[in-house]
Amino acid sequence: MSSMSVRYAWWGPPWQIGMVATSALLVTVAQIGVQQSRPAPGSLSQLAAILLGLAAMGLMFWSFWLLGRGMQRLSAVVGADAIRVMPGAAHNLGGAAWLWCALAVAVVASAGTAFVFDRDGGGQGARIGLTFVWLACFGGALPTSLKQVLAVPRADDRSWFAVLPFIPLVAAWQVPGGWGVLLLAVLVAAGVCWQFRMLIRRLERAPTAGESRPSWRRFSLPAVKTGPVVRALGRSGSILLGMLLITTAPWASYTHDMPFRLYILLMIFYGNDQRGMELAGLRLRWLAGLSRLQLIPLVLRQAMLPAATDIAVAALAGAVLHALGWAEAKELSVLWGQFVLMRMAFMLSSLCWIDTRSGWRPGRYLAYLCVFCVIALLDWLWGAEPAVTALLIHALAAVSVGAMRWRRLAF
Amino acid sequence: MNDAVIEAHWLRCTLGDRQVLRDVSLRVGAGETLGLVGRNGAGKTTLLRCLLGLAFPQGGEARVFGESATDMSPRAKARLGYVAQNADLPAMHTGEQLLALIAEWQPRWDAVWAAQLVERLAVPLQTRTEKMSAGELQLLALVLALGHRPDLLVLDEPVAALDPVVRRAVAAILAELQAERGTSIVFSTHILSDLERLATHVAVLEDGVLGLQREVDALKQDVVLCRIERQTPLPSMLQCAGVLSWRLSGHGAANALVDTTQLPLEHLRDEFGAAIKARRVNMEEFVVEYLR
Repeated sequence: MSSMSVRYAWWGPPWQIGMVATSALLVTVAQIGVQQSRPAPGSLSQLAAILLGLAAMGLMFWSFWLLGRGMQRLSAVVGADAIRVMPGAAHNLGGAAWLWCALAVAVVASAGTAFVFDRDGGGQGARIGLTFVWLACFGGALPTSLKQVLAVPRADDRSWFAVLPFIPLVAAWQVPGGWGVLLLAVLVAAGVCWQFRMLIRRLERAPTAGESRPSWRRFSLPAVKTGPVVRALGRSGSILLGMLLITTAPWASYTHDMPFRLYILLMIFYGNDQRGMELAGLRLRWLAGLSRLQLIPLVLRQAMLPAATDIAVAALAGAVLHALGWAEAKELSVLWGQFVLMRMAFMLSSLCWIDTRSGWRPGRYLAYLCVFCVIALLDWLWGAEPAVTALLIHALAAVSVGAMRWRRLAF
Repeated sequence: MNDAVIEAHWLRCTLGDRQVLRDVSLRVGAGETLGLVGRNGAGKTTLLRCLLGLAFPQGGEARVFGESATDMSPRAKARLGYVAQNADLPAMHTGEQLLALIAEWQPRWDAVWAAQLVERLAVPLQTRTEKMSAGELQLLALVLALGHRPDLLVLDEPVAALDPVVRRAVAAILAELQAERGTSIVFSTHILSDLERLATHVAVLEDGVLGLQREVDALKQDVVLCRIERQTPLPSMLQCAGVLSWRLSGHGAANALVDTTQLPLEHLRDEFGAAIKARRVNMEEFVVEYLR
């Protein structure tokens, strides 16, 4: 058995590794294209640009999935006993370098390409490209994977560090010409490589006598035993920063970036998903035989209260941003409307969820689908820029999400 | 005595404030099948993990194939198969993808044999692990552990989630492997019929202490369950060589597991001046009586 085959086994064939970087580049280039061509609203060229952006985004999602699978393998090797004792696994940890390298390459390639080709555009393309990769790394794949690899004790503990990635990104926004973003990209790449190196070194360190667990378990993010206040602060902080990110980014033109905007909103939720807390109790009670009517007060307390709090925080955040002059009222109101819809959809999805024994996904994806459709309708009603195009985008998104998940709608 | 595949000397392990293993010494020879039994929380899983270097004892040492368990070479690991109590297999993979992955990690992987196992155990290869039932996961974990025809197989309650029919199939496969390759097997279980069917040796772990390790045939031959009865009260506890367990069952009556090689029944009769009825026990009766 060659060492190379072991290395590939971590991640998959080399073409998958290349795909992450390629898709990052494609997303960047597509977004630059949309930004720079500034096609007329409702024109075919605009539609083409948007579709190209959506396709690139789809490719990116596919890459995320591959990344997630690679991470699953990594966490199994360091965490699943049956696999840890396998010869090719524990003794070839270096193979995991592919995972981090792919991320680092994606970050630098995306930001670098945009920087080179979009100098005249004020670095906007760079920001867009990097944001996608940034969100992929820190908004989605990495927190979840790090949670598994580094044994963050509870799912809801993620809420406090979901906020952190947004801070440097927002700061880098303020540096003109894309230099801040490029510098940030290099720092991120260096950071993930350093993190990887540290992790591997910890894993390879011989165990100390008396350790009841492998040493890598000790290498973890501060295991803050969060109380409700810290959790609420974490959630509020990420909502505030997420809104800041969306509204202050100069490229956030309403029509072009709608899928992107939704993606950011999803990521915000991803970082502070409260479904565990909201739903675990409900499911137990449903299984215990409570009727839907009896569940209503529980839903109000366990699902609606957090939803209402988040919505209020979002409104407050919007008011602050407006007062500071960082965002327009219309922009904020639209954003807040989307936020409310999405939060309510998540809450309602809990009811769908408890009707299925197969898990929370059917309700969740149905909620996504509904949200995409409702927002498209809202665009049209609000008379925003080319409503027909927006409707088409969201319909496409709805159909694609629905098509991907139709088998799970097991009501 | 045949070569030792696993040897443990004076293992001590504390998890948190709790001492889980207390000076456990153990030996498994080549070709032996050791059934490890004990009540819940007795330390079976921790012992197995210490034996494989997955948990680190505060004292003592475990050796596998002559190497320190906490520093096993890839060569030694390639001879080893392990099924953990919770089949913690990576998500986002189908059974087929996992088999392909593990085949790359295991230099001795036998694809034909693995395919046979899949067929015999009806493992759903197209299903993703997160959607598999506990039993299906356990079967997949078994195939992953057996696919390279290991020389040593360590199984932590491997059939707990399986139905009786599949359990029998698994037992047949293990027996085959042992007969063909002389694979040594160490398994923990609460299912005593499996112990009877598979084990050549039995070890009983009681609150972190290895109370007994014995060859099954010898145990069946030498150990008897005695009913001791006399007119006057019997002691509530009895600790003497040869008495493996002692349980009062009424005024002047007790049940005792007695190792007749250490304590002939005549001596017991003379000691207590009591009537003794003795009979041989099967493994299930032995374990239940021993752990009571």
